[in-house]
Amino acid sequence: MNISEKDILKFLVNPKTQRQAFEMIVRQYSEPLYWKIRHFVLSHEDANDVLQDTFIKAWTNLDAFKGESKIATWLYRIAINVSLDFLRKQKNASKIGTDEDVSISSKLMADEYFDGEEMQAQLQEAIATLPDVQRMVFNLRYFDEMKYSDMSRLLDTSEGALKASYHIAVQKITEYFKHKD
Amino acid sequence: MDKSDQVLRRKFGSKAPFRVPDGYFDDFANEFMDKLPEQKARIVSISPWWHYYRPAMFVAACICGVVMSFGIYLHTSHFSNEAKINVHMESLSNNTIDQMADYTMLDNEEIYASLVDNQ
Repeated sequence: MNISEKDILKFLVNPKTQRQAFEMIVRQYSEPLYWKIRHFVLSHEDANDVLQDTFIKAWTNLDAFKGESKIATWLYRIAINVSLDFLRKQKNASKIGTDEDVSISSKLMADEYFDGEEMQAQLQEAIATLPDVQRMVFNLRYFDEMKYSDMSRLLDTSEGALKASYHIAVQKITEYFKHKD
Repeated sequence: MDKSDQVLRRKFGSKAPFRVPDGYFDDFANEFMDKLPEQKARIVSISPWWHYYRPAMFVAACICGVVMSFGIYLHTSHFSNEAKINVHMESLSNNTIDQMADYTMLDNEEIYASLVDNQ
């Protein structure tokens, strides 16, 4: 059962019920947060790690939450930053690593928590070629069907810039498959 | 929906085919809270609801100020114009009637009487 944000905030500001309130937040928001993270990091294990890091960051920075945005927006922002940090570390680690590159689509097809076909694995590979922020915009719009107005509040970017970013991302993915064919 | 992604959606679908282990979300909160370290309660202060609307309120206040100033300007200039017109009309009436009186050799009383009759 979802608890209203107003009730959660009431418990959150009270030091005696703060931990209880945070547990309500974890229960209520872990699933939607997980799927946003998973679209970035692709594997379940990585998504689980990033999700936990997100909540730890939120817990240790509770005093930074001023109620000027919704709890969900605040959490999504933390999740996006943690996901982007994770991707950057992953890219740096792959540059240093000497193992032969295994394509993303091959990794996904071998992943027990990926149910898709080869084509869908290749789409994920195409998305992974986008710059990080553009990839984020693409995932939020294409898979989550998030409204541009909500995305604008989440990312603190104008709707026009987001629409342009999404349009360019779609073009790049289309071009990717044209060259592949 | 954006038209630009219609081709991609027809080819690849709209859902990412990821899944999670059974019971993952049910267990996540319990396992996470068990591991979450205790900490001294943080001071969480929620800004009043209108803080979120500060930029919009500032713009609205500026617009109100401009509208009110313009309204006051129009109001005062309207009255001053009316006053000027009334003074002008009075002086015009007096001058005109005096001139008429001289020309027609009528006295003022007869002229005023004719003006009243013509209303």
